[in-house]
Amino acid sequence: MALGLALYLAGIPAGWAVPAGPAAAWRVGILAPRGPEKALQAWGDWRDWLETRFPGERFDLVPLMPDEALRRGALDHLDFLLANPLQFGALDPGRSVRWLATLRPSGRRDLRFLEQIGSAIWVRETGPASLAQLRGMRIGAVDPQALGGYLLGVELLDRAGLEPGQDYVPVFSGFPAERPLLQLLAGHVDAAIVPLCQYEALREAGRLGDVALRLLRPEGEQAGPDAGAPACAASTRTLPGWSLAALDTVPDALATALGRALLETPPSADLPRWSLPVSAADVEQRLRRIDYVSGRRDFWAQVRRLLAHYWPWLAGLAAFAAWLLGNSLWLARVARQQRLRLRRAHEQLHTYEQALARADRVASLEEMAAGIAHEVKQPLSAILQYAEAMAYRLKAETPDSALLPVVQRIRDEVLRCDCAIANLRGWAKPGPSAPVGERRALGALVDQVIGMVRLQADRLGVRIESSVPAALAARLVSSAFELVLVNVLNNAVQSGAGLVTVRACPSPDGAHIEIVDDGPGFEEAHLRFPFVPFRTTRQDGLGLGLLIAQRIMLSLRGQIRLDRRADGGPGALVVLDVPLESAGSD
Amino acid sequence: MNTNDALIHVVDDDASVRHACRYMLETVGLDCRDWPDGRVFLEQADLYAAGVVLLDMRMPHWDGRAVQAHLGRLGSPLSIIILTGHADVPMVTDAFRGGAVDFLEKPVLLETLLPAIERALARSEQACRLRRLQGLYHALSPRERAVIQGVRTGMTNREIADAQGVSVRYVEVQRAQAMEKLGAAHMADLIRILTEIGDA
Repeated sequence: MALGLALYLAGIPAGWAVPAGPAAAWRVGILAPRGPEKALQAWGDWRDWLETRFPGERFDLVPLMPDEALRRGALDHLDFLLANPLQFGALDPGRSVRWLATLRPSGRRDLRFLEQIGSAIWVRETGPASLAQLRGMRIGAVDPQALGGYLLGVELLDRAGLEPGQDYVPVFSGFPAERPLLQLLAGHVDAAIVPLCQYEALREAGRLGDVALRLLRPEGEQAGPDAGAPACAASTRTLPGWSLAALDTVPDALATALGRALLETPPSADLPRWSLPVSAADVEQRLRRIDYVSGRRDFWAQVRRLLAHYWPWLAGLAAFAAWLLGNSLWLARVARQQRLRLRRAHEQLHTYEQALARADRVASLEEMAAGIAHEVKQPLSAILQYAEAMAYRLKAETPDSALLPVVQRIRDEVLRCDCAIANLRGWAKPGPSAPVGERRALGALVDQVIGMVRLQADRLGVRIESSVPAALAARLVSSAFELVLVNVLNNAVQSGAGLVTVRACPSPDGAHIEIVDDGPGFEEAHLRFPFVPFRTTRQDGLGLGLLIAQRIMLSLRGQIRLDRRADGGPGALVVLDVPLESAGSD
Repeated sequence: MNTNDALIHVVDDDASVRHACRYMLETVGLDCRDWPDGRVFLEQADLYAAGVVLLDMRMPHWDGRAVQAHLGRLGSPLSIIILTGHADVPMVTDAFRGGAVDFLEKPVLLETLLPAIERALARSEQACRLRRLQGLYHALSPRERAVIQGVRTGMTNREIADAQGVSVRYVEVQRAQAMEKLGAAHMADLIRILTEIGDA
């Protein structure tokens, strides 16, 4: 190796010797958190060894206080740097770096600060017993950028759920790194975060007197041997120690030679020991976490700074946003009111339209009903009188004649007809007087009506079924209600249905009757204006059936409703609601 | 039914209704005549005989109301039964105010119509009798009328003679003549007749 280096030096002496010259020394920057004197003292031997090992080369030690090293340009003239690799990122030399070797524990007291990195959190013997109890306290530390002297401790506290600034107050006392402990002794802070071995060094120097301090550690976590068993008491896990880096002014050959030389067993036990440079991956991960912890604080600081700076603009912006919001809310309200007004107007129009349509046609219907009544009554009158004469004659001449009951039936049918016409007149001309009805079983009434339409239903092949509870009875003008049922059933039968079902059940104030068919059902327009005269789907229809039905139902204080089948299938549903004590009961 | 010469007049523009009604009434033994409308009836029927008019309200030319009014003006003793297809309240009140005996809606049952006809006939006969008595009364001489008015108020012949300044005998003669003309057989009869006429 020495040969290689010699060959190299002989071959291209000017390649690296010229800028520095034989007289120019390699400048080795050494971070000196404990002060320049201690650094020079600790590394003097090593420097001498280096110059012996590389004859013809001179190495100058340049101690750097950490805060000093952070200044821009502090590293410009250095060729080597001996520092904590984790802090190297913060140092930011702006140049390429080759890591040559990492310190490993050698047993030397003055190097133990550098050989392992970690934090120790100390409190007085009488102080808090756990990390969590540090909440709300003042905690001394070295420097915001100090790894062992602050950041690793912050990470620990963060894991205990404490955040700097919020849950405790960090008090930075600067380098040398033992200062937080002195602050703790003086009672200025409640705890101290210091790098490893600071406590031991103070204790050995007798500067702690007989004050008892206690180390705080996360419960249930051992200070794991990341870099060998810690030489000193540690609260955190220990990280590998400092490393030596060659900056870009150092030629590769020299860097390689130096790296090899460091790994050799040193001739003296007093010299530092080195290992291959330790990968910083795990460490960097921790560092990132620390960055995150302290960066979070930075974020809020940034926000506060921006707020302080731009508050008039932000206030203006907020006011504008508030105005926009209020404006849009107001507009939404106005739009809503407008919509409601519109809907009301529409509903009124709809009601008016319906009323108009009814009034228009009902007027002509009344006229027509009166005409029909008169015209039908004349022949009815004649029939009745012939029948009466016949009955009289039969009674007088052949009282036991079989014809007599037949004539009697003719008479009864005429009277029923007459009754129907009277009811028709009754509702065609709406009046307060409602005819008084008799109490009848609903089932019998329904069967009777089905009998009336059966002929037609059979001809058209329509089946009619009914289920009416036997107990259901209503006080109704039965001829009027029959007319309604006949109308509804006729409609169903003639609509092209195959099956018509009449169901009835008691309802809270009467009887509820449903007539369901499986025909084509009602059209949409029909459902919207159910009771409009002279509208029919049949060639020979008058379009009065449903209207008549509705008028009768109203006069019975009942209701009729048209709908689609409840099961969604095709077909019509007509609902009749009749009060059990119908018209005239009050 | 004892109807004597009483006639039932069926006035209806509908031929079949007319015929049916007449057929029914003749079946039960009533004497009927039918008329196709009000004018023909008023022109051709004997309006001063006892009888009943079954009058349809809705007719062309002369409707029931006009016929009723005309009969009222004439003082006809005929009783009127209104038969109509549809009755409303004003129509019914008008009819009764005009002197109708009954108001029936078509179609009408025999059992309803017959009692109505009987009532109407009785009233018509009564009206006829009254009309005849009134005619007889008006045919009396002024003297005869004065005497029997005295009798009616319960005066004796002497008192009447004194009051009128005539002899008792003269009063007796006048009274007998009047009773004969009015067809009163005796004193009580005369008083009854005079009361009837007076009430009318």
